Amino acid sequence: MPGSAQVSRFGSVLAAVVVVLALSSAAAQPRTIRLGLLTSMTGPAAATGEDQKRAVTLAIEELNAAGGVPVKELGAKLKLEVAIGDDQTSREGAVSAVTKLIVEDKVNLVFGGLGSAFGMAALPLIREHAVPYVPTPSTPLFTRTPELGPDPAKSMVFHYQATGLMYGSAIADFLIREVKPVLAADRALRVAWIYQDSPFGAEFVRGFTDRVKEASHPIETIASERFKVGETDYRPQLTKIKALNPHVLVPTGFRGETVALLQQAILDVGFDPRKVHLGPVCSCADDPLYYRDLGQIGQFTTILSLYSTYAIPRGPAFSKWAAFRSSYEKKFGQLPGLLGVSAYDAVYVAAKAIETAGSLDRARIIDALGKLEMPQLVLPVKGGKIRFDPKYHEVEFFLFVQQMFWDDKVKELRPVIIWPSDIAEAKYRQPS
Amino acid sequence: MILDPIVLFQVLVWGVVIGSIYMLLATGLALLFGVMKLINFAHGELMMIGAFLTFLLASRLGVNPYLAVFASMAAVGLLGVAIEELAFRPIRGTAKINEIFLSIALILILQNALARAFVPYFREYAQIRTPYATRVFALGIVNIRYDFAILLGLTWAIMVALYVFLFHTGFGRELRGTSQNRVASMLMGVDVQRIDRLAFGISAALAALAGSLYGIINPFSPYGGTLPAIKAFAVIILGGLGSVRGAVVGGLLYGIVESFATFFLGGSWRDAIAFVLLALVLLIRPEGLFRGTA
Repeated sequence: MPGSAQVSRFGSVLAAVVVVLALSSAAAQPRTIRLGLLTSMTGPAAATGEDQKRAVTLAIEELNAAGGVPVKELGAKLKLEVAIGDDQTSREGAVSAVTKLIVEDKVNLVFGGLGSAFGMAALPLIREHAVPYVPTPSTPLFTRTPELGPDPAKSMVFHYQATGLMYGSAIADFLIREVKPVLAADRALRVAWIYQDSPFGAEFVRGFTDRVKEASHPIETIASERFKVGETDYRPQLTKIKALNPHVLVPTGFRGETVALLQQAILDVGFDPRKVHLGPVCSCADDPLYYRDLGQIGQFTTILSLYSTYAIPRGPAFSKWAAFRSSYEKKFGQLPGLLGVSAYDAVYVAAKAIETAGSLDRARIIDALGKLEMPQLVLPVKGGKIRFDPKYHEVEFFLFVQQMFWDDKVKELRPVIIWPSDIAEAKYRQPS
Repeated sequence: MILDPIVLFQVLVWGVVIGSIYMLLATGLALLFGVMKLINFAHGELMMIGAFLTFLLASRLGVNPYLAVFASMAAVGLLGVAIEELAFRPIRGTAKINEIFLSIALILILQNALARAFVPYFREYAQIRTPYATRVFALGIVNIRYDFAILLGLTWAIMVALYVFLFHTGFGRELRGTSQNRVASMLMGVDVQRIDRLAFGISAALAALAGSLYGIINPFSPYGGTLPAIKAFAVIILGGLGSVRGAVVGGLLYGIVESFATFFLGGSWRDAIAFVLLALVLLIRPEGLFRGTA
């Protein structure tokens, strides 16, 4: 019967069309949330990127094991996945990495990284595509430079760990409170800086100078020596600083630079820790390798931190540290560094923003980040709640200072928290 | 301005120490240029491979770094011979641009290979620890670490050995002859390909020594060889292309000027001022301090 054959053929075609439409509709529906980790997997900061990658893997596994992130608009809980954009520790690399993340991987949000130089290079593309961006440790240039783009309050950049200015300010307060009474009780404290010639180093010094001026601290900055990124021989500059007789030498650089600065200052140039305080160094050095590499000569030096590799301050603000450290160590066989911790937190911040937005629409995620309020994660936040302040889109962290002491049992340095007083385990000690 | 003689003497010492590293690097380059008329841009990467091998031998196998240096020199010397044989020889006689691009390609290949091997062991920087790292002795008015004294002693011992080799052995005579006139040497029965291998091997071994000593006094990374190598190129231009004597004097001079420039003008001027010196020397003596051959 031709009629029934035609009907049958029509039915088959219709069924096929329905199946195709159903499949294409399912394909259009996102099945995962794609986060783009923009970090350095190759180049001089490759190890930092590795630490961030590990921590992000851990956070994503935890969130996915809990069922994923509920997205109201889709009526489903979606699993997270990460796409990595390797900035090759270079500005040019950052541009191609962020292009890949946005154009090829079509990520819902970009996050991570170390140092503002690479993130700043990626920023024009981030702005062009209006992608929510949560950079991890870097200078506040991202969020405090109006000429970089629209009003910071309307920006899609939410800076999870702005360094620099507030760090320099904390260093000034610590030195006045703890070091001046010991080394320069009746006169101005003579402070010398040697810092990385980059926005990162410059912002530390600016934060310090501004705070000294604002609080009228009796501090005299007698030297501000700069060194280029990647430079590892600081002896001529340290020799000059020593000749100026400072009470304090503040070395500011990345971990490897800091270790070399302290070793060369003490061993080669002859800074005497009994007469000159060395520190506080940058929190970005707080990494298991810092304690191992610095060795015994690092005794009595200090480090400004917001996450400590070995110490756990008292109080509920630090309650998540032990569990996080243990999970990371169990999975990767080593302890995390600060950069890893920061990226771990950023994944949770991203997940919460997407949940609050109830959508994978980038504009709605940006809006949700602006209004975000969630309990602090691993890193301690002032007030215990993560909020991006409306003016600069920055989170305000709780900073503390640790002093290093040699531990004969482990044959490595171990930290003791000495400032601020409410969490201090001991007083600042000057060797005699 | 600080003009205390003790302080200035200390700055001079830092200049001589870093200048000795430049001297080793530049001597290898000068030798290579003298014999093969070849500029190996990947010289800094051979330096870092040397540092890395010494680091591994010292930190993993517990070998004294100053003994490990010799194993590292031998290994990198052989690597140099292999590079000459497998990479540069096939393109010898073709356009000079091929050699330049090949050596630039070698930079990327060696750097990334080293970075791959590097990261599992440590993050970003490493430093070779010696048993004398914290020991110092008084040198007149300043205290000097044992490591600096050993570095200077070892550097000069190797330079004297190189001098003896070049001027008091048959191989050395052939090498100098090839450097002066390759065709005439061939006509005299010198196996110039063997001399090429020898020059490349010595050049690479000197780079390994420079890298190992650099890694003892400073932290290093797989990417850390580029800048010292650029400075070594400046040194051989300063000293006179192909002149080993020029490399020795130029290297030391460069290190000292760099050290004083950093001291008086700050770290931002560290690299720039030495190149200003280079420009000045070339204006006065375009052929460099010493015209010459290996």
